Amino acid sequence: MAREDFLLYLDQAAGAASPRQAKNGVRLDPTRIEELLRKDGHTQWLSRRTVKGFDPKDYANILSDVELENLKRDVAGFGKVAESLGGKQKTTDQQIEDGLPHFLSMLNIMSPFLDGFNEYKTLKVALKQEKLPSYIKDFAVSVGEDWTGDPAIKIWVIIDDDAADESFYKGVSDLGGEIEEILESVNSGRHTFIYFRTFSEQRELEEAGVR
Amino acid sequence: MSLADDLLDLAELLANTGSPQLEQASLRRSISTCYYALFHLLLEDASRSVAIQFDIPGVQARILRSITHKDLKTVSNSFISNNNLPILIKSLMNSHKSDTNEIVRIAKIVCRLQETREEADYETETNFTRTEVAALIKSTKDAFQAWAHVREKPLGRAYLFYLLYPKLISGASR
Repeated sequence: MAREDFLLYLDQAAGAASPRQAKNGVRLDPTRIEELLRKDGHTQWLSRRTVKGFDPKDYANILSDVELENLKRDVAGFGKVAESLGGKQKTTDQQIEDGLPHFLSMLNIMSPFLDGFNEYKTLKVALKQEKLPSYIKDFAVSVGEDWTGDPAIKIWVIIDDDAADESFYKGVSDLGGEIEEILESVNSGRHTFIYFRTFSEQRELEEAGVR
Repeated sequence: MSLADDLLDLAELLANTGSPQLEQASLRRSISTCYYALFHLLLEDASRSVAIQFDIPGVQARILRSITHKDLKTVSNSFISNNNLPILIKSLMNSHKSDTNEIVRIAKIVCRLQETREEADYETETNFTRTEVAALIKSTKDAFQAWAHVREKPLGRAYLFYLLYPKLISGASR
């Protein structure tokens, strides 16, 4: 049960950066995650609970030796910062500076087992390998259930503002199909829904604090 | 022009309303209208195919109303995943690749619109953008076109058959 606990706490700690909690999708770009985790009032990730139940033995078979060593190092480093937190005192900037690299690293190492993170990475790799058009800038992800309660994942494909022209819309259904095909290798039985946004529409939602 | 065509035109009008104050409301109504455009396109063909055999006033509307949104999802997902369908239909899908692609494309758009329509109608925390809605409208138009190609084909007929008799899909729960 400890493996699931750790993943659950990690996901919950990620808060606004968790695709489970982002109804309108979240970009899982490391810079964006860091931006979200640094936000005032969003430092719930820095808590002893986040690494509660961690047992390296649970990951021996699913992580490489290097990953496991790094994870152990991050859990220990993060735990040390979390231990230094005073009861009801506000988290200090220094504690955030000290704890954040460990938290980001833990998210990265565990991303293949966190809902939405794996799909995001797969799409980013496909984009890098030029399997997708270069006007695609990023992806936003939301994980949850569809209207009937079946497991679902929603992906917003974020395109260049200039790309949203007639030729883009002409091929939009096929592009959605290509993205679904790329996701088929990692999507474990979830219904996939693909949507499109321009980069400025995405930024507008982010600046408005829409989750 | 059929009701389905009119609804699709209306969805486009709603998406392009100029008022910024009404943007979210207009986009939500546009999504909902898009879904019902495709819903009517498919269900009118399904209900007509049976109603034509009876000279009973209002029977087509009754048949149409007996098909639920959940039925539409169940049938569409069966065609997308090629699961729970009889071997006869599976082999039809294997031997008619082009028609299968069209049916699967339609089924995927049905499911996407259905999901988005639920959010547009009931989820107040969800925000929609013009690009997202314009893409949905274009996909709906693609589904209309694809349906025009396959509606008279064996696979198109099979899709309609299961919309009328979704219980015949194995594993379907109602």
